[in-house]
Amino acid sequence: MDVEKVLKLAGLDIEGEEFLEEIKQILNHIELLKEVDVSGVDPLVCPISHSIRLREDACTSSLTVEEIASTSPQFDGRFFPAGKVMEGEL
Amino acid sequence: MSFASIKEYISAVKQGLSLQDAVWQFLDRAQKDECNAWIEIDPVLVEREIERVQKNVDLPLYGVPLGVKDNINVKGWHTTCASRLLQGFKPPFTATAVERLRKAGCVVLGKTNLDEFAMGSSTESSTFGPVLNPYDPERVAGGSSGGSACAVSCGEVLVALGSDTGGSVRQPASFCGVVGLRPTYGRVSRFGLVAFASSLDQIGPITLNVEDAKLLFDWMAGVDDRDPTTSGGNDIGLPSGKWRIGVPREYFPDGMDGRIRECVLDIAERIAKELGGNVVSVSLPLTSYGVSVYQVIGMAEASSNLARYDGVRYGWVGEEGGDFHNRIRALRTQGFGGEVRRRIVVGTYVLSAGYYDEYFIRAQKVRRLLRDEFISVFNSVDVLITPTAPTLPFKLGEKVKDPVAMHLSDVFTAPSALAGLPAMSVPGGFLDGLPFGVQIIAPPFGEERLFFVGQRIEEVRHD
Repeated sequence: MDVEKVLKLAGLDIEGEEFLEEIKQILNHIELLKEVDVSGVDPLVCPISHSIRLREDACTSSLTVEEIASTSPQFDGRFFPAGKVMEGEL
Repeated sequence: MSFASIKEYISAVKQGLSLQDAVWQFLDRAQKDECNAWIEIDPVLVEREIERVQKNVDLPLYGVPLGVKDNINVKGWHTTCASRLLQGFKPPFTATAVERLRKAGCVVLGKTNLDEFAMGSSTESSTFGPVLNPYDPERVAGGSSGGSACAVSCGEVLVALGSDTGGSVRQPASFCGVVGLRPTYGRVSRFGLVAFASSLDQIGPITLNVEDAKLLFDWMAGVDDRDPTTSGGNDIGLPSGKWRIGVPREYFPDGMDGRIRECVLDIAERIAKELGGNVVSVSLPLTSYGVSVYQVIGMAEASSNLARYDGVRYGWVGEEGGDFHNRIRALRTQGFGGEVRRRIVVGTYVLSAGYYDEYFIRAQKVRRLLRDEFISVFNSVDVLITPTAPTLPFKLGEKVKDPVAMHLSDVFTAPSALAGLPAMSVPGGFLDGLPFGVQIIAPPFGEERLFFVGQRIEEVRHD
């Protein structure tokens, strides 16, 4: 496992040895799945026997901007400040 | 004064005990709680709840105090998921399951402690510290809904809600000596439950007895436009012929606590006799792969669901300024605890290019085989009886340093969750002064069978 790459994808910083050892234990445990013959089996994404029900495509009321903004300590009235996204010098 | 059931409580409240006094008895006990079962108790909000229902004496769950696991949203209350990352977050809406129980008369008493983002089997990964077992403070209450199970067991609330992804309602119910139901996937809306693993998460009641679990379930279940996986389908009902009680060999392995094994087998025999049916020995050979499938699918879905915690839109924002990506990485590394970070890393890995088919798709294929295996066994039995957990409540700290040992606490609960089946833990009795649970598993939409058999267990168990 390319630890650095996975941590970057996961949005996490580099971790210590102990953490990586624990990850290794979990990965060893999931290796067990290679013992099972899965040829010809379709993946099961969601365990429901009934069909997914879609609601009518109609307008319904939703939360107001104020209600949604109330969950953010940073919302400035119009935007969520997020910091510089582009890499390198602008 | 304590109450053994919802029925007893409502009858006392209707016969002269004021609702205010009744709810405050619980609130007092909750405020004096010594097990760390609660994250938020707010008497002002509770008073508002009492006012809301007070005039409607005929409500079916009139004034029933309800504890809500702190990963289920209730407008006006914080939702922390026991994580530093959600510090200060107040959701602007209420979960459908809570809304329905409130409409029926329930009064929200507070938010209960849990493993961080419901990831754990002991409530030790909570940023607010572990929940202690009500029967032995040196032992865990189970998890992840440890706070809800403990609070009900201690009489600090009459009923509570938990969430069950791989066993998080049933295992703490077993460890705290209470009833815990995981409904069929799709019977109770997940709207307002903070997503951990969306194809597994279900909200379920934790109560003192089976009748109360049924009452809550009946009010919570049903179609919700805000969760497309919900179904209004009918229950399959009780079997028409003689009861066939299945006992799967793989759920009684040599490595487990032998006393639990013997007691659960004895209970299976006794309920079969009571019902005039038979115990049938069956086999579910893929059981031992259940935890591995659960690790892959649960962690993959968690890594995706938890990508939303970026410190921008809600919760803890960390230090301001600086480069976006660096800031997010630092914030998530400091904000998530070790167990959550481990699961995000493994989940990201199994979803990454080159490993997706090898791990994630393979796990989904084994998941189908697991489900098929259950469905096929249900051609020859009406329900399955198993232990809920392979051990009694373990010591605090005993499994914290060994994540795989901790995950194996779910060995008897993860497979049915992966298969989307309804299952319930009912107290089986005590060993060494500690409770253990008996698990009943039914086919999809078979909750009535769980309640019926669960009530028989309540009659025959060793108290």
